[in-house]
Amino acid sequence: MSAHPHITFDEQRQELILAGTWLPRDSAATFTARNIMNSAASSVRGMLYINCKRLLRINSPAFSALLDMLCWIEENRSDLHVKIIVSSAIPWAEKRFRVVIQMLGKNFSVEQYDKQFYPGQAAVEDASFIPVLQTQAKIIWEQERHILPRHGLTPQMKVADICCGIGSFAMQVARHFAPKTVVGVDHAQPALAYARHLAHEFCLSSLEFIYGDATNLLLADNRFDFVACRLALQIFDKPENILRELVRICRPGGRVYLINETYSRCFGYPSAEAIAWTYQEASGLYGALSMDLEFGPKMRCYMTEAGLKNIQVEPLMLTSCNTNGADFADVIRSWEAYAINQLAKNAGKDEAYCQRLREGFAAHVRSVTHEKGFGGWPIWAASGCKPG
Amino acid sequence: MIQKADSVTTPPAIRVCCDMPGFIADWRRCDHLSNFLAEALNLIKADPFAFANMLSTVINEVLETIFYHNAGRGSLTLALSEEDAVTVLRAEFAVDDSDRSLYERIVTTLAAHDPVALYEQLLFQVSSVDTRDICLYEIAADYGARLTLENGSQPGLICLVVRISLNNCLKTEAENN
Repeated sequence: MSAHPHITFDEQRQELILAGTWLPRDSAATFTARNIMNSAASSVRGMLYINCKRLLRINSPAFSALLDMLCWIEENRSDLHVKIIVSSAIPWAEKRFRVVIQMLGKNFSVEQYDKQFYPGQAAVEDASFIPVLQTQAKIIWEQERHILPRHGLTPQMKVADICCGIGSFAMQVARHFAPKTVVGVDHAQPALAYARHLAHEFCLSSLEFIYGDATNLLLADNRFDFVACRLALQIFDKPENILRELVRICRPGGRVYLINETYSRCFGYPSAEAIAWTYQEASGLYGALSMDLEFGPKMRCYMTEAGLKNIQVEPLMLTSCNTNGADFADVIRSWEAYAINQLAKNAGKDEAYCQRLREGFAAHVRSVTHEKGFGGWPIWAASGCKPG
Repeated sequence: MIQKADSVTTPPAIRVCCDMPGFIADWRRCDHLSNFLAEALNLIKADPFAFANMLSTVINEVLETIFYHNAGRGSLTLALSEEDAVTVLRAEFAVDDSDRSLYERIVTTLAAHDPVALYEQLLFQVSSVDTRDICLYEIAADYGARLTLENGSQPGLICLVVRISLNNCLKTEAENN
């Protein structure tokens, strides 16, 4: 590893990592950085990655130093491919690099990594997903609000809600737990727009909603007392990358709080078998998008490996006895619509299969709305303390 | 080339005035001032991080140019305002003739040519072009900033005016995402 305040070269990964605010006064002030870059450019084979995911700002002398290296590669290393990786959370980055790349030729490319990083991401960032999130948030909060103090949430805390979606949890925390601040981060612009609109309408001034990528948060280390990430690790195929960031932004002694499901174990009576089949299948369909809706019981393992201590896990069971039946039914219907119209159709499933899926969801709706029925949705809540 | 300073219709949201010798005594003041101004204006924005990141980047490029091209005396006055969804930075400072010519040349050239083509051309002539002088071309090319020069409030002063529609920039970014 070679290091500079703003540039690190990871030889093993053939990756130049540019980070922070790199604003040298002039070309002479880029001398050390140029040495690191030139050494990287001359030593690697095949592909050189230039990781700018956390490069917050850069000025012309710095950009020129980088450009000199790229021009040198173009002239002297025709065998080498260069991929510049930027984040969509840094608004200037892609455009500025793309102007240059277009002039350098086919061995150079810019990739907005968080656009394609997660195979299932596009689905949950669509505005049509908002009603699903909205109805779910309502019924989960009624149960969740009671367990949050056990997981360390108290008044006057600095709270982060990563993958905040439409911001329901952040807003409820702001209303009921008197936090100092709540920062919500999400990668879905429609959801953020909705969240900001509601926060403004409800005059919740301690809230801030930021566009960002959960695997590379642009938030300072050790900043928050309570870091929540709800029903989100389960929809990414590399949950450990997000968890690492949650731990990073949590202050020592603060807690990281997660909730995730075991979706295939949604249950109901009567028609228990039809319900069980439908949820097993639906979970598999999500799995095809690299979402793991069975992630709930795995949280303790991941949290332990992330270095968290004093880990607590408890069920957050939503049933037709503790949840309004009509609301629960609405949630199930939104799952049904998504599973059939999006997941099953995209997976090429035939009408008979879709019909069987429908029957299971319909049975689940009956179980949670009928006076003699009983149905549920198993969720798990877990939290762990960041060691001091 | 230099326009009459009659286009100010909205009072600035933020005005900062500092001593020019003090400003040019420390390079980091460009960063500090650009951050301060962008953070102050972002309070009313929907996505404060993205807005401040973009705006501070633009202001920093302007300040880095001024850092090198000024008369080294008097004051630097920065006024940041919003006029019809356009963010406007007005920088007033003293210049000598050579620096005045430089600003006039940049503004005139940008007005007469495609900023993107100009910037690309300059970018790849780094051996013959000082990187300190391409900042203003860069903000015109990458962010669609429009630059004009106005007479300053006193003789010997110029007012460099930078207009930029950051909402459009951010909307484009969001749409691309």
